[in-house]
Amino acid sequence: MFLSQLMRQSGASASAARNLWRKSENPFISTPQAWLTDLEQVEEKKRGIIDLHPDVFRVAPRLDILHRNLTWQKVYRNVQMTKMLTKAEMPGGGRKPWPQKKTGRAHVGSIRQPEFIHGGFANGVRGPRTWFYMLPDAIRLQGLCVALTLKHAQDDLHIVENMQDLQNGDPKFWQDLCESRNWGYSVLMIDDSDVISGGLAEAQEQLAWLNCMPVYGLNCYSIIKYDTVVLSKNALEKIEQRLLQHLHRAKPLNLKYRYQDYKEKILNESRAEENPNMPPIV
Amino acid sequence: MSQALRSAKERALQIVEQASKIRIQDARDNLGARTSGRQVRKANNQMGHTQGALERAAKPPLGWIWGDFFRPWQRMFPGEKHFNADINVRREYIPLSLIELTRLIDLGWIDPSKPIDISTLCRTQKFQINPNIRQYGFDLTEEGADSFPYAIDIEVQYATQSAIAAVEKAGGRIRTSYYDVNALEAAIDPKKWFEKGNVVPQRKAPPKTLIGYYMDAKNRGYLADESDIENNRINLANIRGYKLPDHEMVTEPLKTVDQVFHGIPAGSVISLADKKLYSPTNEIHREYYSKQVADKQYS
Amino acid sequence: MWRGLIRRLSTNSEQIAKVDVSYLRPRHRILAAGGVPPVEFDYERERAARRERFGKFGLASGVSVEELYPTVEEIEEEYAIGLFKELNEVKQEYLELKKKQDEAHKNRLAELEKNLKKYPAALEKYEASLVKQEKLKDEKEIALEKRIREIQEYFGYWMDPKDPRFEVMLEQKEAEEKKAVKLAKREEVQKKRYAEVVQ
Repeated sequence: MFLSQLMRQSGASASAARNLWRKSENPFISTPQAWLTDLEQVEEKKRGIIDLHPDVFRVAPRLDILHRNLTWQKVYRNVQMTKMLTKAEMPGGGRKPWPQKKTGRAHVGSIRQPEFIHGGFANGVRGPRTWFYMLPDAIRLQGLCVALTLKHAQDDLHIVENMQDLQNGDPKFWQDLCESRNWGYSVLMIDDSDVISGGLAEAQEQLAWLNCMPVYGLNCYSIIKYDTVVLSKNALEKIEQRLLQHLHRAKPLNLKYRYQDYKEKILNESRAEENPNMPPIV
Repeated sequence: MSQALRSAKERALQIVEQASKIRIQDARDNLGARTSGRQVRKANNQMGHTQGALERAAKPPLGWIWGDFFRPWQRMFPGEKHFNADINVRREYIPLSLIELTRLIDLGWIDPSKPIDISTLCRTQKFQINPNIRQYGFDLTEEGADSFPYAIDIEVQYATQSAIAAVEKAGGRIRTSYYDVNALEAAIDPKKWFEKGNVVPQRKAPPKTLIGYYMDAKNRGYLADESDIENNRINLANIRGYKLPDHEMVTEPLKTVDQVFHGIPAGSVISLADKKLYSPTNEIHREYYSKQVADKQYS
Repeated sequence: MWRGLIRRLSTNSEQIAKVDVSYLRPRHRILAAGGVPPVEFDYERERAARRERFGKFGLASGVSVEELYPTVEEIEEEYAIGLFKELNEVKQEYLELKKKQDEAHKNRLAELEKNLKKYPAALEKYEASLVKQEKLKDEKEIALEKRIREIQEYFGYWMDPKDPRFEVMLEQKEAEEKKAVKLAKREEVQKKRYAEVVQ
């Protein structure tokens, strides 16, 4: 890797070598590396170099797998609530408007027939309709690995020591920081904790292009959407641990997510979400 | 690393490294990444007219062997009075051959220094047992008996004499034992059982029709006398002509007749969150869980 | 902007800004953090859900261990149904059954042994009985059989001797025979007479 060559040139020691769980013994698989920096000052200071797991940060760039993940994330939440009424559901229209024969007019039985103006719809949209489906575990796992790999390969993934309790919360400072480090138009900060405190918390409220996310919110869409992804060291550990745990799990990766298994829980918990004044239209 | 040695993955990543930033709109399917099923031409499609026609079509009866439809094989050669008459009653045992077991141990899925039972075997996720469809555990078969190297302490539900001989020749201990449906469910996935907050069930003894097998020392049944089993062990070695090792593999004392897990008595409550075991304090519960009962006849 | 507003509501200290970036409902935030969520829904007050709660969160869930055990009524009901017999009883039953089966098997073997010894004698007797039956047929029967056969040969087809027509045919046949005998006698007498005349 070019980073290790740089490291050798600069004479810095690889002090941040990590113990990578279940790393392949294959000598042809190189270990990806990243600089370890911090967010204390505007200029980027290289604190060391850090090993990343090749099974997570150096996988084949399967854009088709990524595409499946992105499509799934866009689509699964869609619900179509439109319901076009049929002639039976339209009000009125029970009477035969004119006799069947000998009037010279069409043979009709109701003024709500589909050929009438203000009639019902014959093949209309019949909501509520959902596009929800579950992507297989293996595809989701591989999608995350691919997204992280792409970000790392394009030099858009950065590792920082710490994100909590930073001193400076000035938006100008953060803008300068991101600009001087060439982090692009939007930045996603990922930490292992879901509560952010200190300067970053202040700044990300002010700046629309700077956002924070806990590790459990990590997803393909966000990783690809933001120009730069910044991981804290703890987040990196946790992401690797979680992904590798699932990649190496004894259970099969094609688990079934059937509605009938979750129906009871969903219905039970949704009872509290129902608004008494606005019940769901089904 | 020279260009020639680079893998396809590395070469692809090299392209990605030199490319402009990959954005949402750049992700798309590779050519041929997803294929629908092979389209058979309509004229040649012999599958049936519709899906429903296939689902509802008159199909040959269970156990059908290809031949004359009106004189089925099982009627031409009636070996049994009613073909497959006990299909809904008979018990099924998942075959586990000694060679499979050897491989599982070789690959590190099973630790031979610890007792091997249903829980150990199911933990490997290599087997599925569903008690609801009358699967009652494992049947240790003799495939690979000639070269079974490990001294193990194993408990299965059924074992052939050759398999017993192979295990004992290697210095292992084997017992056959019965699990009723509840106990089996607990043993298959203990974590799931404990997380449901269920009490560790009492393992019921086999029903009258099956108790003979487990009371027979020849089958190393768990209800047989240990002295009988020892005699049978020596006897089997003499018959088969091998020398028994000096001592048997004993990892832990045998489970009691009503115990599902090693070291956990029946009627305990396990809290995984607290890492604690609670025993029943009520006299009625203590009696209920200490009463040794046999499973119901048709179970 | 609305996001910031929501977050500000959740922050309580002025000195250090603290924001929640989870965007989860409180219940799910607690679950994500590995805590024990409060009892919120009706179904959570049911027995199975309370058990599950104990199984997931242990004593911190507020469910006592006693709740997990079957109630006295349930135990009594199970005893009353009597689906499960005691082990010793079943063992005894099995042993008795086995004893009975062994006994029956032994008896059967003994019987077979005994019968096998008697077999040559029995076989001889049987074979002798087949011969004797033929011998036993008396003169009368033989005559009857002969007559039946004759009649059948005479008329050219099989006839049941019990048939009422049989008697009739028998008489007819006997009459014809008598007639034939008479004719034969007469012819003989005539022949003698011719001989006398010719000489």
